Amino acid sequence: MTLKALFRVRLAALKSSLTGANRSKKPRTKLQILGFAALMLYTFGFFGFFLYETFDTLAFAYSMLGLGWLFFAMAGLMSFGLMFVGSVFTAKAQLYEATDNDLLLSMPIRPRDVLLSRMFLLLVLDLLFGLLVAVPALIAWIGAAGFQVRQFVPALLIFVVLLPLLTLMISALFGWLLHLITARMRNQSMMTVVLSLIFLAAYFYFVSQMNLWIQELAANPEPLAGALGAVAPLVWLGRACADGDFAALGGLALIVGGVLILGWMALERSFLRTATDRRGAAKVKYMEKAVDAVPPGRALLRRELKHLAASPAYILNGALGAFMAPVAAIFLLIKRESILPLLAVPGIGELLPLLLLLGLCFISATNILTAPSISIEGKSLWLLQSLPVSPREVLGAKLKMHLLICLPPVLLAGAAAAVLLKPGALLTAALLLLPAACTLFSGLLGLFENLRHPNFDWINETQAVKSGASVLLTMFIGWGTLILPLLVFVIWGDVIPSSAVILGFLGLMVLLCLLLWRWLSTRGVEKFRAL
Amino acid sequence: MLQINHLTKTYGDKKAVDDLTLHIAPGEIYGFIGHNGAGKTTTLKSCAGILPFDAGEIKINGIDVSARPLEAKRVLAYLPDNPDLYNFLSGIQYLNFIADIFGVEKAVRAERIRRLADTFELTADLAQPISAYSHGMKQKLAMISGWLHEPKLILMDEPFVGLDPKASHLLKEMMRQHCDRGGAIFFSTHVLEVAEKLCDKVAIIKEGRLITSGTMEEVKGDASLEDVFLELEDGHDA
Repeated sequence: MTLKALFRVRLAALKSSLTGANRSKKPRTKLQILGFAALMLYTFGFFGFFLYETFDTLAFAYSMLGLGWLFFAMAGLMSFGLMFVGSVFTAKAQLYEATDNDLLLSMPIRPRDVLLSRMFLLLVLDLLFGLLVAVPALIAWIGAAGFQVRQFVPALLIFVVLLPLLTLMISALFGWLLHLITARMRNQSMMTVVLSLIFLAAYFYFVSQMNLWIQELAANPEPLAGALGAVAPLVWLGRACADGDFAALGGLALIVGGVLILGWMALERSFLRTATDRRGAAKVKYMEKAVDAVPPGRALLRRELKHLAASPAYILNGALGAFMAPVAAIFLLIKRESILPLLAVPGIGELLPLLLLLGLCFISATNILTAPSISIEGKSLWLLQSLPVSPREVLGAKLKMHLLICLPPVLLAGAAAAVLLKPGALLTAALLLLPAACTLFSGLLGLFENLRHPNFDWINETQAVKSGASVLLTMFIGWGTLILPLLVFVIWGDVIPSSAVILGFLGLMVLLCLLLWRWLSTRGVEKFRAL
Repeated sequence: MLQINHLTKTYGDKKAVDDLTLHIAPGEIYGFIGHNGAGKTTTLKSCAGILPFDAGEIKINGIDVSARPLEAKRVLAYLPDNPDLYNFLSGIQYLNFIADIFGVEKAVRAERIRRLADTFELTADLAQPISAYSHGMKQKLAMISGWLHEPKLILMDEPFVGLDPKASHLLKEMMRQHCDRGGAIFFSTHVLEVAEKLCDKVAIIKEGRLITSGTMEEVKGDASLEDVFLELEDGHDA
């Protein structure tokens, strides 16, 4: 009964963060909810399509070679990796650092029920990430090898039940470990950022290596099959899905069940102590120091930067592009010799500068620091509202923080692209100006969307940073605008030169920035006052 | 110092504050009493420029809160009942942030922080992140930040909740000293004994409407404030 009530609370919190009422107490309209559902479907479609393209190539090759088990083993690994990377830090924050842990533990509720209800929400998250890989993989396999119930049932059981449960337990255990490691660190947010980037880099390395493995497999399949074949559970996973081998499915279920039981025993025993552990970092004694007195505008900017630095989830979700841009710059400079000859290839030479530019703009649109910046004020919003600072100054500080963090890396990447291409003055200017305009656009758009969709009802800052309509809308509208110049080039590339497309897109970005600026200065200011 | 004239604030169909008029003069500690949901916090937040209101006028030191909010906010401090401060800052970073916003000069702020933090015995913890503070420590930090720019008017919502007896005593002394220097304090409380001893004037509000107000003697006469409050509440119901 208690558990049921806790599940209901968790689902209500999830629903509220995605579609619920905001501080204005006005529930979302049906149109808004439908729009949000459409956005979620678009998100899944967007990523699903890219994954389907990869799996489609693999499925035909593997079914022809009789290596269906390897196809499913690799899809399982990808699914597990995405679920783990996507949920491990959420597990740390949601299980052990939720602000309502004390409240719930003070009630006549068993700690294990609190833990279980929190893990239930993580399972939903894992399932969403898992389906993102599983659905395209299954569609691609059915397209290549045909539909067979004997294959489909075990695959469904594995990808919808066993793998999400396994990932849930492993990410919960890792979350526990990370909490224990970082609990007494003074710079724990930086450590969390570094660890997250290592996890992400490892995952992307694995995904990028997959293509190489496929090529190797085509030429010489034995070594990879042998390597993966040495890991029995992977083989069982593959055989259960590809051959409908129910004995393999049983073996895998036993292993997953074992991990679940042992993991649950460890988590259940330690949960109360871990969730109530308030040791924190070692105490630092205050020593009076001379301070800089700064004007209010700079004080607000400093406050934004300190908030960002203290929140790993905010850094990783809001400024991923700022990490990607220097990597892209280094990649361009290192791979210069391989890329330059492509400029001379008919068809590609004309398209390459535009693609490079759009790549930089994509990185800029990935930076969405302002999108949750109002929501994360949470319960301390009263401070900004009671202090003698105008909404314009507050919003301005948030935008400046976004530009300060996100602009230098994309300019660096733009400069690297200019060094690589050695283009004319126009393209050089575009390589710097267009990513800058996109960065400004995503900053302004983030404020616009967060003022329209604020969410203050969160129990952990990670929720405000990761979920919510403003974050998704800012990212996808930002990425969506990049399709326009590509479409123009693909449809009218023969009559419109790429330089005109680039200039036109720059003009559009500037126009959108001006419109957003005007809205924020007028209606946006009023919206902030009314929050 | 604070003039509230015919203040009305509604949430949907519900009138949280209904035609409230109160005047608070310099030097006065003014208590604001009422049951839960009576409209105390809404009134205080409206005075602090946090909540826009539907009708009426609020002036602080002659400055209209709606027309010139920033000027009005520069002469006041607002301390809410639950001090949700910036957990990502340390105590000293928070105080410096507040001092920067109010333009308190370096030397002045250093002296005030030293004096106020010593008074509340918080100096040793100023380098700690606010996230590591207890509720009482956050209350104390909020008090220090409230006094840091020496406001003319201090608005406080249940200021004694969560404070230890010593800090509570200190706060009462500071409130009196502030008003002796010509400032004014308008605060809500459920602790009627404190209000009775501390306040120069008191107002009782029920369901958004003012039931009575005046000097402590005018409101309670020879009875205790608790008896008068309960009687007025019941009488109003009848």
